[in-house]
Amino acid sequence: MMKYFHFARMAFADYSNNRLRMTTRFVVYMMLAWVMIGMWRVIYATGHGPVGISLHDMGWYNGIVQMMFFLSPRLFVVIDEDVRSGNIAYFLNRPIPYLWMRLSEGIGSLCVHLIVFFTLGIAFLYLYLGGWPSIGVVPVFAALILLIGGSVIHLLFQICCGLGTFWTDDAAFIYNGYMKIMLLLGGVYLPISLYPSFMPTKLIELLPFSSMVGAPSALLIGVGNFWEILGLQIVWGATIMMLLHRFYVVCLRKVEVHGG
Amino acid sequence: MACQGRKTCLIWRMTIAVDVKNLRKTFKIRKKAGFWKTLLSPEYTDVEAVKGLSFTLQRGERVAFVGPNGAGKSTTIKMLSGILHPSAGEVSINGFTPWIDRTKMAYQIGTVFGQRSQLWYHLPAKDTFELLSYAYEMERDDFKKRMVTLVDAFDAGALIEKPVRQLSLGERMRCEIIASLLHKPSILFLDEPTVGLDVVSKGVIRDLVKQASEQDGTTVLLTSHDTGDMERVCDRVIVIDHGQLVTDQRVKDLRTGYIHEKVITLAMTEVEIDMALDGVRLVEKMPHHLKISVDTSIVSVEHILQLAMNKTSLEDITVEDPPTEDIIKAIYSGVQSSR
Repeated sequence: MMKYFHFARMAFADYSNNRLRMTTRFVVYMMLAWVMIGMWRVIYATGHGPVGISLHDMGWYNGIVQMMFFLSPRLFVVIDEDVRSGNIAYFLNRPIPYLWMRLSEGIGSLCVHLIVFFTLGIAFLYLYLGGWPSIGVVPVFAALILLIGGSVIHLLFQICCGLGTFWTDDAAFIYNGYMKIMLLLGGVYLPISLYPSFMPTKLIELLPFSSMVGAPSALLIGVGNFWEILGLQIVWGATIMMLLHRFYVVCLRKVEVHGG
Repeated sequence: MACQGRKTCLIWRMTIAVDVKNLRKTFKIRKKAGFWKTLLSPEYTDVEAVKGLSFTLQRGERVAFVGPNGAGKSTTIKMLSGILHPSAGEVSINGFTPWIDRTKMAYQIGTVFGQRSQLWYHLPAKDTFELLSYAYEMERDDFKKRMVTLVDAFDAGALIEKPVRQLSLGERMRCEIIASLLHKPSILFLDEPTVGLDVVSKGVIRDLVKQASEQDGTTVLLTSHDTGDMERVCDRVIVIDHGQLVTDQRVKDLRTGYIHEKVITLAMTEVEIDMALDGVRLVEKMPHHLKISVDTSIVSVEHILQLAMNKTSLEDITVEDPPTEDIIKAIYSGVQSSR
């Protein structure tokens, strides 16, 4: 296990060294959160805001949802480049499985983002929205804990998309497909409890997408149970890891290192 | 290669680092067709990259694996290092089957791919070395001693402190090779390690690889398009083309087996002399200077020199073999013409 820790530590050092990348990432997050909250402000101003959720709480919901996407590094791009450039040849020759090596590095980078976003990001939301959500400060911390789990599952999905390069030579469109499903079923734009009645919301809530993003953020509007979401994350995380391992074995048989 | 008798066989096996038998690799390439046909019922063409290669490498041997583009060199190296699964055949690397015992074998092999990088781009190379030492589960003291030895040998003290992005290609390649040798592999696979380097850097890399191999007794299998790599680093050369073995012999024997040509340069007192003979080709002619190429299967060098001395007084004579590149070309063209 120490091997994995050192790969994570190295990625942490690498990400920490690149301050420009971190600053850009945070500025883009603030802009996006500002736009999303601004859109809800317009909806509430027209009197069409959802009943029972204040604009202030909806702002927190959106701020936390957007944060999740900025926490995880773009691991699918790294894997896609490894496969396409043939660099994977180096990594397959090491006494550490490529899959878990990249996940460790992803977690190392995630830790840098957690420090930045859980301090500056929360401070930004607090100042921009003018205080904690009406339900209190404790659900904010609960949501942040669940965001960590959600981000790890997001990394696992990204690895899955990246490994798709073994077949398609391009992971971007697989990742785009995954993100579309996430936008639809994850509660990214609005809480799942507000989805139209024709959508099977009970089923959607059991899927991994909701437990990654929508469900943790919904704690801030007083919906959901911390332990249930955590349990769901553990089940989905373990399931995806097992499937990923099987998928990786298939990928190893498929591998064709580019460039001769 | 065969062995007779149980004891002889055992000793023979113990000295073998790499044993390849009838290795084959076929890639399936999707045929181009219309959108729907490609999507619903794609058709594939089989492309045989490696067609039944067999060879062995003794421990500590340095062998060049040479062939034109598309000959199957890199594919073979990738099968030997466990990256690619072969379609058929057997490979034993220190007793391990690469694609089955990949993790166990990883501790015993090192790889250098000239066009790839294993170093962290934004961090100094020494950080990657440290990370690799954990990956290979090296003891801290062993790692530190090994790093000092390699850094001294490769004269890379200042290089390993700089972020990799600030290194030149030659400097980076030195660090790549250190990274690959760090865990003291008994076999080193080098896939075009000098590609893109200038003449000086190539020389440095060749000498360092040879030196490292001599010191640790590392078996080296090197693929390259550059015959200089073969001449400076290796004792033996395996030439392949279209996935098949063309020749397997000592580098020094290569000249006699495949080419019957010598290049003779004469510096003389006469302004010019006539050397028009069967088997003699003029390469360069200047006042008091003549360079000719002699086909030794038609006329001997001794006869040419005798003739020249009869015609003029010679101030200097140089007899050279043609460049190795020409020998390799001759081997390739021999294969082409026999197809």
